[in-house]
Amino acid sequence: MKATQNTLSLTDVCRSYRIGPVTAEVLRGVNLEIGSGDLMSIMGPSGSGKTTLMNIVGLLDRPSSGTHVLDGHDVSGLEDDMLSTLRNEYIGFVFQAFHLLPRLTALENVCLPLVYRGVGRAEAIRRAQAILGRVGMADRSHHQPSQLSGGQKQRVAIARALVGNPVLLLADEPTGALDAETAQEVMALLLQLNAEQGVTILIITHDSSVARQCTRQLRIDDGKLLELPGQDRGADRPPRPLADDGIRDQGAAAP
Amino acid sequence: MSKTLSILGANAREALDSLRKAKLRTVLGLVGIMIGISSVIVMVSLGEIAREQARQSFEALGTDILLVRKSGGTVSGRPAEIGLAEAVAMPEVVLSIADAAPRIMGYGTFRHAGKEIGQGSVQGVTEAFARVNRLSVQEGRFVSDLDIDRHYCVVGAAVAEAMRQAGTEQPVGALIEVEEHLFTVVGVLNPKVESYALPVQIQANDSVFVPITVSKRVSTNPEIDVIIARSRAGVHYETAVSGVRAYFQKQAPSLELAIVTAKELIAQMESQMGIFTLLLGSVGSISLVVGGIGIMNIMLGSVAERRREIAIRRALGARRRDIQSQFLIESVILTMAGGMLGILLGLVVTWGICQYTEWIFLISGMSVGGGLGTASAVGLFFGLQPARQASRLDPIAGLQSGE
Repeated sequence: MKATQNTLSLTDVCRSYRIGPVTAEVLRGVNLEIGSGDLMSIMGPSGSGKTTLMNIVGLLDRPSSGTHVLDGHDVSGLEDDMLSTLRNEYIGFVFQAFHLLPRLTALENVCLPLVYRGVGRAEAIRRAQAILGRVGMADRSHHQPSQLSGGQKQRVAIARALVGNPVLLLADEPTGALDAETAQEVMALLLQLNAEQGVTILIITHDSSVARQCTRQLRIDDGKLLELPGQDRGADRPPRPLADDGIRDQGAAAP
Repeated sequence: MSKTLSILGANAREALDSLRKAKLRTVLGLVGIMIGISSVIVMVSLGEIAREQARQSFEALGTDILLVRKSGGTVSGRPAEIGLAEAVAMPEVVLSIADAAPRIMGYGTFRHAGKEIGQGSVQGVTEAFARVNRLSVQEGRFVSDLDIDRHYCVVGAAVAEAMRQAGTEQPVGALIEVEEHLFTVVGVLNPKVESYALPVQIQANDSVFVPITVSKRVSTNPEIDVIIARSRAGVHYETAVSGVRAYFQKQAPSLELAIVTAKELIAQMESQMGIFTLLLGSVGSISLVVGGIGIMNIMLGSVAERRREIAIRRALGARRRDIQSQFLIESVILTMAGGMLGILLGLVVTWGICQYTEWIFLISGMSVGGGLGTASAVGLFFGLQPARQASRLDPIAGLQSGE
C-alpha cells in the first residue's frame, strides 16, 4: 500500500519564532509522510501549530530545522522564487474563506495558477473550463464570486487548486464557512476527487465529522503530530508507522 | 522569457480591467496626472509657439539683413566712427549689399500745440531706412535724401494719434517740437507690430524720424549707432559680411566693426528660446511631480487594501517579481491614461490661449511624444516603491488578515 516515493515527507521539522527575547517553539519535531493518493486530515485546537504546519507543507513558510522533501525534491533551503515556482506546480490551496479574487470571474480565478506558470491564455481558459466542468461549475464560469453561493465559491476554489495538477491538495478548513448540508456536498466532492482521480488531499480541520471521513487521521497538539489508528473508512488499512516521539507523546497529548 | 512575457500580458490585461472599474480615488489620481501632463504640454507648446512666432517675425524682417555697428575700441588711439558718407555710399561700392540705412539714435520729449504729448526716440535716418525696415507711409511722405538740413520729420502712428488728441486733425503740415527744435511733419507712418525678440528695435510707432543730416547737427550724441543693411538676393551672408569689412577697412582703417547677420541672430534667438521653453517646461513639471506623488499615494493605498489579494496570488505561485510587475504595470497604465487625457487637455488649452492672443497654433511633436514618455516615466518612478512594497508582503499574514 505504501507508495515507492512519498508525495511529501517531513523529518524532524521544528519551527520556532523569536518574539523579542522569547523564542516560541510552534512545531517540535514533526514527522509526516504523505503517500500518493492519500486522503488525510489533521485536527488540532487553535494554537496547536496546525496553521504553521500547513504553511510549511504549502511552502509558504520554512522550517527552522529538519528536512522537507516534496515529490523527491529537498525543499528545505530553497529561495523564495524557487518556492513560489514549486508552490505553483506542486501545491493546490483551498481555504476556509475561499479566497477567490473578487474582481475576477470564476474562470479567471481558475486560470490564475496557469497564468503564473506561463501557460498561454487560450490554453489556460481551455483547461480552466474543463476543470470547472469537473466540479460542476461549468455554467457559472463567467460569474463573479459575489454572485456565487458559499458552496459554489468553494467548488471554484477547488477547481483553481486542481487546475495545475498539483501533487497535493492542501485544504485549510474547507467546510468551515459553510452550513452543514453544503459542507457535506463539498466534502463529498473532495472524497470523489480522491477516490476517482487519485488526488492526494490533506485537510486541516477542527471538525471531527470531516476528519472521520478521511482514510488517515492525524492530530496535532502543542507542536507535535501523531496519527490516530485507522477507523471507519480507514479501518481496513493497516496503521501507519509513526515517529517514535509521536507515539510517546500520545498519552500526554490526548485530552 | 515567454513565461515572463505571458505573465506581463496577463498583468496588463488585468490592470486595464481594473482601470475600467476604477474607483473615485483612481479617477482623482488620473486627473492629477492629467493636469500635470497638460500643464507640461501647455508650457512646452507655448514656448515652441513663442519661438515660432519670433522666427516668423525674423523672416518678415528678412534673412538678408545685416546690422553693422562700431565695436568697442579704436585701433591707433584715434577715435573712429562710422562716417555718414561711407555708410550711404556702401551699396554703390560693395556689390553684395543692396541697400544700407544708417541711423543716429536720440531720445526726447515731444511737444505739440503747447502741450507735452509724449516721449520717444528721435531717429536720424535716410530715405533708405523706410525701405530696409519695411516701414510704410499712411499720409504724406517719408524722409527724403533731398531734405538735407531741413527740419522736416515723419511721425509714427502713436505720435500722430497723440497730436490728434492734442487737437490737430491733420498732423501732416503741423509743427512738432522735439527737445526745443521745431519740425514740420511731412508724413505719418502706418502702425507697425514689432516683436520684442528682434535684435534691432525700431519702435516706429512711438518715434519721430528726421533727416540724418539734421540729427548730425542737433543730436547730443550725433554718432551713427547702426547701419541696417540688406544683402543682394542670392548672396551668401558671409560674402556680404566680408564685403562690408573690406570696404570699411579701406575707408576707415582704424574702425572696428561688429557685424551680425540674420542667420546668426536666428541661431542666437533659437538657443534663447530653447532655454525659455526648458524653463516653462520645468514649471509645468512641478505639477507633474505633484501628480506623481498622488499616484504613489494611490498605489500605496491600493497595496494596503489588496494585501489579501497579493497573498492569494503568492499562494497560487506568483513570484515576488510577478507581484512587482503587476503593480508597476498598473501605475504605468494609470499614468499613461492620465497622460493621454492630459495631452488632449493641454492641446485644447493651448489652442484656447492661441485663439485669445491671436498667436499661431501648432502641435509640437516633441510635447506630445514627450508627454507620453514623461507620463510613463512618472508611473514607473512613483510606482516602483509601492510595487516593491507589495512584492515583499508576507503571504502568511495576508492570508490570515481580516476574515
